[in-house]
Order: sequence, then C-alpha cells, then structure tokens
Amino acid sequence: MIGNKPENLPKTLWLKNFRGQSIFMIWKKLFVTLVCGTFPAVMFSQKEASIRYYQLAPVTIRDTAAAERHLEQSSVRIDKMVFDKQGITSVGEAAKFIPGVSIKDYGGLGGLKTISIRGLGSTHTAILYDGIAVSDYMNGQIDLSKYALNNVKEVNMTNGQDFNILQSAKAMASSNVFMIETSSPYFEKGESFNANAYCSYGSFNYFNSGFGSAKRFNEKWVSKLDFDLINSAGNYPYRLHYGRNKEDSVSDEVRKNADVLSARIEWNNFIVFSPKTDLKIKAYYFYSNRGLPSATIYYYQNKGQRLWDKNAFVQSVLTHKFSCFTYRNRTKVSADFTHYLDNHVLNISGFQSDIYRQREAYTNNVISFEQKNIKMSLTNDLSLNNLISNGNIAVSPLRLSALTAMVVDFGLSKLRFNANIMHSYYRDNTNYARMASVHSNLHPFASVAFKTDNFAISLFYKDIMRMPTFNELYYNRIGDPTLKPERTRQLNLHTAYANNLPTKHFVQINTSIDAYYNKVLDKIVAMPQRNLFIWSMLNYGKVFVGGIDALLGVRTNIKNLDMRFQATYSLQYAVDNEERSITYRQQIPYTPRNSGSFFALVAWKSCSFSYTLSFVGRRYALNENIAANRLDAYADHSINISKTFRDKLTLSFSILNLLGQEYEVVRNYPMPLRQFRIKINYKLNK
Amino acid sequence: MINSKNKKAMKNIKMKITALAMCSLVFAACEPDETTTEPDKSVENGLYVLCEGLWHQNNSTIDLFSLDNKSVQRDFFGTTNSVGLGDTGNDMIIYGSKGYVAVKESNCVIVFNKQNGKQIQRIQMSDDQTKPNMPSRLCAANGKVYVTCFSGYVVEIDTASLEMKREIKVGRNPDGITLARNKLFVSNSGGMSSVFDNTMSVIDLSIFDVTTINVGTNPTIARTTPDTNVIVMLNGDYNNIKPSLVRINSSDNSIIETYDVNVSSFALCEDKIIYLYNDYTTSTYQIKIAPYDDITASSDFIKFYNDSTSIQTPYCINVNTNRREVYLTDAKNYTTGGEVICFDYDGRMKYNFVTSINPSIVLQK
Repeated sequence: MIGNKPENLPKTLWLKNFRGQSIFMIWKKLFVTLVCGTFPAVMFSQKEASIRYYQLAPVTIRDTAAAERHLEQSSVRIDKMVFDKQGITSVGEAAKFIPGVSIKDYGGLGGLKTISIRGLGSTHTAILYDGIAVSDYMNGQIDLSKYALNNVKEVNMTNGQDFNILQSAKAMASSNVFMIETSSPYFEKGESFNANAYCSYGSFNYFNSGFGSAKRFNEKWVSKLDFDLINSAGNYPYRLHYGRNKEDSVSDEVRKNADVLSARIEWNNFIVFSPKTDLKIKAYYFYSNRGLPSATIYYYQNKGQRLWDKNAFVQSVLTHKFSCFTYRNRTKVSADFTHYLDNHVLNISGFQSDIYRQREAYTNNVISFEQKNIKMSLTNDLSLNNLISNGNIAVSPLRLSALTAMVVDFGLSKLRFNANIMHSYYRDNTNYARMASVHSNLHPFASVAFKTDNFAISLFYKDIMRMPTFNELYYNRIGDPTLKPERTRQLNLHTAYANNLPTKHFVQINTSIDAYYNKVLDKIVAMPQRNLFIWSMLNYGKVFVGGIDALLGVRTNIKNLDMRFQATYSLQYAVDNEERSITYRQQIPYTPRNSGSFFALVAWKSCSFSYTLSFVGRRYALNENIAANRLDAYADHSINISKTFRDKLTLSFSILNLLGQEYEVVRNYPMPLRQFRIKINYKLNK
Repeated sequence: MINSKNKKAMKNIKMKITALAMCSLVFAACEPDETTTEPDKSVENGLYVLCEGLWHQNNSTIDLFSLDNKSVQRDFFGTTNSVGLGDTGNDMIIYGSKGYVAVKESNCVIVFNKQNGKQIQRIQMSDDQTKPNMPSRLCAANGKVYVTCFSGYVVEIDTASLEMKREIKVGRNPDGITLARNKLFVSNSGGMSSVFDNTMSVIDLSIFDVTTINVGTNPTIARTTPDTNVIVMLNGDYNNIKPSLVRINSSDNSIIETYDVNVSSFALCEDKIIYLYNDYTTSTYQIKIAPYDDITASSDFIKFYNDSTSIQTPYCINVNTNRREVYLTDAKNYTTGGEVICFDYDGRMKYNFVTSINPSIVLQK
C-alpha cells in the first residue's frame, strides 16, 4: 500500500480495538469513518503515538515535518477534521484557536494576517510549508491569508522548536515554528484515482472554488494536483466611530477597495523508490490581485492602493535510510514578485509604483544516527536570497545564510533530553559600500523532560536571534546597515496530561499548561530622527514577556454521537522593558493580556454542528496604555452545520461573527460583521 | 468502566480545570492600568494645543490647558463635539472669533468657536486628487482664510459664510504660507517626491495672481518679520543639502540673505528669531535666539529651566505675544504623549504640561 497517513490518523487505541483484523480492513474502516465524519479522530495536540502505525504499513512516506508528537513537546495542532467542520477558510483563522498566538488581521478576506506568538512579533516565527521554510527577506512577515485551508491537513504551532532530529536548521532558527502540512493522497486497495471538488459562496460576493485530485500511476508514484480560486468583493458594511466615547458620532459605511482575487495551483508528487528511499516534489504557483483598503480615517479615504503578488516555487524532500542512519535533503527554488501601486499620490507623477522581486535558492542536508536511546543529527542549511526593487531599496541586497546545527536526543526510561547547538552565519552583499557586516553566532537550545504514559513535564531554554530584514537594513533613507540582530531568550515550563485509555464511552481528555518567560533584546524599532520626515531603524527596545498558556480538550463518543470540545486561555504580560523608555513596564501594542478560544463539535451520523468562539481582551494600538490608544475586547462567535449524503456529497452552511460584533484587530481596520457562507463538496473515488 | 487509575487521573484533571478557571478569574481582573484626565469644562484663560497624532490613527486632538489652574484637558475638541478632529491636524490658527484647523489626511478644514471649542463647520476639500486636496497650512488675511493644499493649490475660505471661494494653482506640495504687504508667500516643498521643489509662489492678493521665485531646496515654514519681510525655512534634501533660513524682501521678492544653519523649527519674537538647532553629529538639539536680521549672532535661548522636565525631542516653537511667552513642544518619542514647556522672553521656564501625541501649535484661547 502506498500513501501517507490518512487525514486523521487514528490513535493506537483504535488499533487495539481492531486487533485481529487485517491491516486493509482497518484502513477501510478508518476511511469510512473518516468520510462519514462520525468518528472524527482525535486531533488534540501532543499525543499522536503514530510510530507503531507507521511500522505496520508496508511502504509509507514519512512526513516532512515532525511526524512524532509527544506529550512533552510544547505544541498545539489543529487538523482538517476540525477546521472543515468549523467552516473556516484560511490558515490565519485556524491559528486563532492556538493559545499564545495573536493574529494581526487587517480585516476582510484579502487583509494581511500575520502571526505573532507570545509577544515576540511576526518575524520571530518560522513558517514551514510541508517542512520547508517560507521566507520573506524583505520584511520578514508571512501573510497567512495567502494559505487557504482546502488542501491543508493540519497546522501545528510549536514553542521553541520541534524535537524531531531530521529537521532543517531553519526550522530551529526561530523562536517558534508554525507548520502547515498539506494533505497527502490516500488510496484504498484497488483504487487508483480520487478527487474532490468544492464550491462555496457567501456574503459580500465571496466565491471560492477548487478541486484536488490524486492519481496513483503505479506502486511507486503518486501524484496530486490542487487548484483553488478565491474571489471576493470585500464590500462589507461597518460602522465608523468618530471618537472613543459611547456618545460620539457614528456613521454607517461600506468598506471600499477591499476586493481580492487569488488563485493557487499546486502539484505534488510522491515517489517511493524503495522502502528505504522516497522523494516528494512540489511545484507551487500563487497569484493574487487585491485592493489595499485604507485605514478608516475620518472624512476621506484613499481608494487607490493595489497589490499584486506572484509566487512560484519548486521544492523537494528526499529521504534515504541506511543501517542506523537516515539522510534527508530538502531543496527549494523560489521566485516572488510584489507590485504595489498607489494611484493617488501627490508627487510629480501622481502615482507610486513599487516593484519588488525576491529570489531564493535553498538546500538543507541532514544526516541522523539512531541507536537505542540516542539519536543524533547534523543538519546544515544554505540559502541565497536576493531582492531587486525599482527604487526603494536601491542597493539590491543579496544574502548568504549558512546554518549548521548539531542535535542530540537522548531518552532514558522516563527522561528525555533534547539539545542542539547551532551556528549561524549571515553575509550580505550589495551594490554599494553600505551593507551589513558578517554575523556569525552560536545559539543553544536545551530541553529536559520527564514523562509517563499519560503525563509529561518539560522545560526548555532557547537563545536565538533574527537577522534584520532587507527593509530594516537598506530601505532608502530609513534603513541602517549597522543594525544588530534582534535576540530572544525563552524559558518554558510545559506540563501535559492525556488519558490514552478507552473508557466505556471513550472519554478522552487532554490538557496542557505552559508557563513561560521571554526576553527580547536589541529590538529593532523605527524611530523618527531629527524630525518626523526622517525615520530610521534603531536597536532600541527590550521586551519582557511572562505568560501562561492553557489548553483543555475533551472528546466523548456515545454510539453515533461524537463530541469534541476545546478551550484555551492565554495570559501575556508583555511589557516594554527598556528602562529609558517613557512606556517602561507598559503592555506592548497589539498584545492582549487575556485571550482565549473555545470550540465545540457535535457529530451525529452524517450531520455535524460546530460552535467556535475566539476571545481577545483589551489591547493598545500604541505604546502608551491610555484610553485614547485602547482597542476594546471582543468575542467572535461562529457556527457551522454540515451534512454528508451517501459519503460523497457534503453540504455545509456557516454563519461567521454570528452576533455581528463590531471589532477591530488593527486600529482603523474594521472586521466584517455577520457573514453567511454555503459550501458544497463532492468526492469521487475510482 | 472507569478503572481506579483513570479515576485518579480524572480527579487530577478536575483539579487542574479548577486551577485553570481560577487563574483566568484572577488574570481577567489584571488588565493594564490606564491613566485618564478629568474633564474640566470651565476654562476662562487657556491655551489650545494642536496635537498632530500619528498617521492613519485618527488621533489628532486639540488639548486645552487651563492657565488658571494649570491643568490639561486632553482631546478637548473630541469631548466637546463628540467627534474627533480626524487624521493629522497639520496647522491651526485663530482668526476673529473662530479657530481653523487644517486636517491633512482627512482632507478638510475644521472651523470651531474660539470661546467654547464647538465645531461650527467642517469644510471638506475636493474628493478628487487633481483638485485641492490634503490641506496643510493656514493664513488669514482681509477677512479670508487661505489654505495651502498639498495637491498644489491655495484655497480661499470666506470667514463669514465658511465656504470655499477662489482657488489658485501654486507649486508642488505647499507647506508654508505667510502674509506680507498684501502678498501671500507660499513655500512649495515638493516633499512628496524624491526631487524636491525649490520655489515659493507669491500671490498678490490685490490681483489674485501668482509669481514664482527661487528660494532653495524644500522650503517649508514661512513667517513675516517686523519689517514686513519674510523668513522661510528650507529643509534641504535630508542628505547632502543642509537646512537653512532664507530672508526675502517682500517688496521685490528678492533674497536678502541665506543663513546655512541646521534648523528644524523657528518662530519670531519681537525683533528676535528663536530657532531649533540640530547638531547632526551628536544628535542633540539646542534652542537658539538671534536678531532676525543677523542670525549668525546667536546665543542659547534657554537661560534656566527646572528639573520638572527634561526636553527630549524639541518639535515646534510657538510665540504668544499677548502673554509674552514662548512655547517649546516636545514630541518625546513621537508615539507617546508629548509635552509643552513654556518660557518667558528671557528664556526662563515658567511651567510645563503633558499633552496628547506630537504637540505642534500652541495658541491662546
């Protein structure tokens, strides 16, 4: 049998229950349950003991990202089962249900959504797409609204880094890692083709359509093609408030220039040369054309800004095993094109048109050694990145990054140690003499864990940095090539409990509580120099973050009724820690002190109902914690119902922001009020 | 059946849930503290302070400082009118019984009652980019208020009907205006392009016609001297061309003198000029005073100021001839509240007060 694990990998307990049946039967049952949706497999984090299962399959393709999830790992994941039933569409929305994560959302479908974890800012999170880092060297921010969930199997956020020893160095070179894993094809015996197509329509002319099809050509080669198209007028109504007091004037407006058209095509190939050698190759193209809605300033808004994005890449992951060694190579070639146009600028030409082209050539080689309790690996990343722009970054920077890490993972009955030392080397080259100096540093990571079958406690410490972006270093007039990298130090205590045993009604509980302490040093901030016209980049700030993340998941199953609940809560005491600062010890902007989420899924036979809630407490748009800068707390409730007919056709209906709550995540960028969406999905197997 | 091991685990879980719930209760109460100012409606003698706020934050304000009890009412305009000023209040003048504010990004001029701060009228500039747009500076003359617009126009507003009357095309991105000998001197900064403008447009109000004169790179603030000539500040190109002050003869529009000095704001005070001097090499600021017709003979303006404040980022200088006071505004780090520090004409500090973000213009109520 060829294929990766199905969308929702069953837990070992199912294996126990089905013991005595053939593997094929197990797969079949699982597949049926999966399609029916009556037995959603457990998606709760940190507990997937899938190793045994893997060993049973004659030929499998190992996951590119961490396949092993352990209780002692401080990570949270959300799988397809959940977000399909929640009716959410983008990775940015799914991430809101992970404790400690703040999504900066500029509103609407095309609105920029960037992730910030535990008060550290979006440039400190590595985003991995099927195991390979997505990078933006210009501004360091990855827009998660670009990633639709239609072909995504799961998203996973790990604090610090994953314990997997076959990782790339880049996956370990950031404070946190956010992984997006796409679905792998799966065939039942005798099947060689399957496909699904979907179409969705909703408020404000939201239209989404696409298909995914997988074909098994022979025992060794499986290919999968995905296409997705999104179009939305984005003309949602909102209420403009002319002041922060309740009695202040308001007017009802419609969001303008928030339209979006985007398309993605992705072709994945899975080739298994032998049980020891396999290869994955992905070709990806993304296009988007969107309006950039202005901040809702009073009386007049610029409607002339547009953004075009084109992104193409090819990436491969090759794995080869020999005796107690495993070798893996990851390679990626990528080209990015961004065109920003503002038709309403009072300069000589009357418009501003900026074009940025980024290119990347990347390769990672990792070799691991495994013997009894000890695993070791040596991993090396080499990448070349450049940026060419038509003016704003005149120096055309080129960066060579070389990251090398030595990883050790050592298990001793109930104890586990995982540590690495990483060396980073960055060298920039520019057209002019202005360039950053060479940075060469060592970064440690260490973790120690105690675990039993149901309980784990672990502690990690990580000291890492991020290089300044090309914008920070070289943007005309503003950038400063002498900037130092921004450093972060993290200390995290993680405790988790999961009952893995089937009870009479399959009550499964999974909970984790993390307490952490983060420090940011040499934070890079933009500050006006001389006067408001001349801003420049400085290593000025320090940030201290202390916090708690908690998660509780419960799943019960009574005959045909399956119920899942998850509640999360985050406390972030994230303050300006620079003693010279006027806002010393005040909460940093856009970081809620309290936030949380809740969802409930109820499935009965082929019907399901879900309710989701995301709560974000009071935040401040600027450094000073005063009423004038305050953004009020909000709670966004959404519901979704779906029904599957004859295992083939699924209809679902969702209401987002059910109560029509007015809120802003980013000041003066209102979020849509109540929205309706209907989706139809059809599956075909042959 | 739940076995005993599981029961124990369940109990553990329950304890944990309770602990978690208690945690959230405790922390829900620990939102950050906010400082708020008490509104004080009855201010007889006061100062209006225009605070620019930050770009695209809709947080320009007019703060009111009571000279009697030395207290500040932040966002006085907003609380009085139940409507905010808008985005980037760029200039404010008081003319007759009314105050006028040019709100640049919101593309309007707001007219308010000088006495009670109530908004009288909002004059919306054109919605079209090729028409008057982005009002930047204001100047009153002959019962009219003249507004420079970044789209390259000067618009005349009738102070009785509060309607836009005539408009006249000037240079690129005008960012300064002053009246001398019935002529308006308008600085064309060209600041929105990488190539700056270097001209002033002189509008003869008697015939409402424009002549253009060359003054130097990126002219901005313009003020009229006691001998009815004009001093204009050039920002330079922020790179090789350094800032300077240029004195212009308003009768024949010729340049009298150019002083190369790293200046970023100035005001006239009787026969003196007080200006903000930037030392780029040490990134420090000094407040200098000099005779307006001999700027090279400058000395330090501040003779004494007490420890209740520390000047961090001097931003603008204002002079109140009525009370014989000089107001230095301090933008701090440009993102937090600012400060106004008041001196007498001899450079002795009198009082200071905190304001909203980026205070720029200080006028007596």
